[in-house]
Amino acid sequence: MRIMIVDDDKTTRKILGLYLKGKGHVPVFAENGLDAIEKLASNEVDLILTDLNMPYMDGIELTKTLKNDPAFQSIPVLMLTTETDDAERKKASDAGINAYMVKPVSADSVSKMIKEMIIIKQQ
Amino acid sequence: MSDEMDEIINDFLIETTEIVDDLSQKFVELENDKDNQELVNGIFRSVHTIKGASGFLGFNQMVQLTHLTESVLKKIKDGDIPLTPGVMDVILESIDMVKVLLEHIKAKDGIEEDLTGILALLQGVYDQAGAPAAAPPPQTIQQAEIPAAPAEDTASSGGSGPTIEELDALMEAQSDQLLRPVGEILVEGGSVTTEEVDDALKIQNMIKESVDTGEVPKVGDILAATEKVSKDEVKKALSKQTQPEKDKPPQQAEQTIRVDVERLDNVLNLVGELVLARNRLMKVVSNLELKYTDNTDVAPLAELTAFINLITTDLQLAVMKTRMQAVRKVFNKFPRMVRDLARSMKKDVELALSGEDTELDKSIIEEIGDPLVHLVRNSVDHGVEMPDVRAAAGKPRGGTVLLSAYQEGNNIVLSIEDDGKGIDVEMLKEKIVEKGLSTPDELERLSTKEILDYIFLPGFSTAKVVSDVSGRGVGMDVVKTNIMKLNGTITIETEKGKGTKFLLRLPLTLAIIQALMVGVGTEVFAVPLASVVETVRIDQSNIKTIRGQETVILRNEIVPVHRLANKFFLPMGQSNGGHKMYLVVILIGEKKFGMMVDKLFGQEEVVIKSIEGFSNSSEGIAGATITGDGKVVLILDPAVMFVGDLRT
Repeated sequence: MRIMIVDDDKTTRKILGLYLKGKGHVPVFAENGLDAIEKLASNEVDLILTDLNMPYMDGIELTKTLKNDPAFQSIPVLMLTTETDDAERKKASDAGINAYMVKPVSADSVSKMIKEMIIIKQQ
Repeated sequence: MSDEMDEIINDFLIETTEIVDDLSQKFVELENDKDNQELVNGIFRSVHTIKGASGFLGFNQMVQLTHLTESVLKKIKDGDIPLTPGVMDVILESIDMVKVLLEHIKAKDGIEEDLTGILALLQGVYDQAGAPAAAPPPQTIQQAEIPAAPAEDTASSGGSGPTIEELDALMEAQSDQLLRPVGEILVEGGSVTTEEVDDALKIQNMIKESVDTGEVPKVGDILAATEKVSKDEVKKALSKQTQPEKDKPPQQAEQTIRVDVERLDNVLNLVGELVLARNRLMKVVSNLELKYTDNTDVAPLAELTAFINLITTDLQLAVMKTRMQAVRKVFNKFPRMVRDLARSMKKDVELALSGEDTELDKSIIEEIGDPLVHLVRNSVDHGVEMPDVRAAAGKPRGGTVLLSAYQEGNNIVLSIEDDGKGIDVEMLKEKIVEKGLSTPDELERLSTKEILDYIFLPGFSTAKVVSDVSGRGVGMDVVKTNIMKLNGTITIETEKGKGTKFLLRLPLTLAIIQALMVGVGTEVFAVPLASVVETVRIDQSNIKTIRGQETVILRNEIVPVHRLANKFFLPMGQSNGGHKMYLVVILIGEKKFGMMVDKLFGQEEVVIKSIEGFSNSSEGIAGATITGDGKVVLILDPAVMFVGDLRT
């Protein structure tokens, strides 16, 4: 699977990327929402893991944009964030994210979640 | 699975270690520039990153610690807690604990540290802000329901994926494309001033903080709303923003790969062997050229040898470069150290760094840390005076220690300079006499530099009150020995009341040196050329014995003479009976002396091979090498060889 990791933090991208690579996936990196949209134009991905708070375009805006675009709306979006505020979560789910995990997340739980999302996607 | 995890943990360690090193520096900067919001944000984000990555890999202690540290930092960021030195101490302590935890992770020892102390301290600082409750503990995993994704099948690309190296390159390449803030574009276009953009950002922040949910207006909108700029201009700027600058050529990703040091060492070793073989080849060819001047086959051979010589030299340089590291690696730990030291001594000391990008061989970088720590401590402890004393002397209350690195010919110079009280040579003399190291009469005859050299003798300390900082005079001699081990030299420059400067001169590399080949009797020795000043031919009658020490007068300077033959219990060669002999004049630090030999063979590039383990009395021998004609030759270490004599 090709999985896009959208996070403005280099270390997070790297560690997530290495981990996913180890699981046999191909990671694609983006630093923020705008960067992600630009990279989606030239990269086909099967799943997007995105952070919430990022400069220029945050995860919610990114999701909104993608879900309104017929070309990308089918890509599942998994949001990883430190935000525990219910209002923020509601905003995220309104935007159309497919799943939500609160950081810090463990490697296993991310892996499990990705598996579940793949299954749902394939149904 | 475990291999993969190991790899990720390894990467985690590298990344976090970098972040932590960087943090120490940022904190020191922050203490001098308390209102620098950008620095606070940077620190906050770094800690946040460590927390996230640790959580991902399941390092729970690290998560616990960084979580609370992050909470405290957030309060500082929001201005709820003033950044006092006390608060800073607690945060720095927590960063130290992060380092300890990283060590445990690295060692895979599974040891858990007792965090209660530091956590309580952090909590104390946190509560100081008047917050009723602690930050919520980090939640491990919280999962939301997964809404059914639209069913659509995209062919999933399996496969093994890219390698780590490719991944790194990919990340670097992708990270180049960052969008530029609208404000910046507008300022560039001359539509608004930087101040106006700052104002707009402030307004934006205020809105962000006061409004929990809902849209936060964009900087461009704020600027337009406050009528600093027209909407059209914002639009134009926005269009520029989404267009990556196309006129610029696509930036090449900086490609790096990690290589095991062992492999590099192996390559360097092989290059060393190649250099030796090249030297032999050149010797053989030059002999052939002399023997068969008319033979047409010899000329191409000579040409080819010259070419191989050139390539070998280039290769040697290239390999040496792979082992070079910036001194930044060593320098980075000093700002924090100086800060802690100065605080513990109630002094005000600023550390300035320069030339951090200067590169040195890895092995030198590894060895230079301890001597530098000692010298920097020394400057802070003995050099810089108490603020009141400085003020009384008409100096600024805060002292400065300048740590710099630069290249000088084939050497790298590291200097540690303070603007403190300098060394009182008269007091130093008293001390020398008091310790029975010399007599007043003797000292009268010595130059200031020679007197300063006494500081490097074992067991010498000038501090009236021994502080726990710079130790008890153990050190300076160790510093000197360590520097000499690296084929380096150390010198002192000082001016009473103005300050002191320690200069370390280090070779670029340790493995290959230029040497002067000398002969005694039938033996050949190599002398590192770096310490050779000149060679002179002298007559037996020039040697005068002064108080049991043979000396010669060279251009009105008295130079002690040592016979190399005596050191190795060798019979002097044919020149023993004759009157002519050669003197190799050697300069170690500020000390000059002559080494008497029978023959001079010339200069040769030699590869130092260690002879440790073959002999138990290798004092004065730096190693061995194989010369062009295939002989094994000892490389002398004149600094150590005559060090005993130097003290007389």
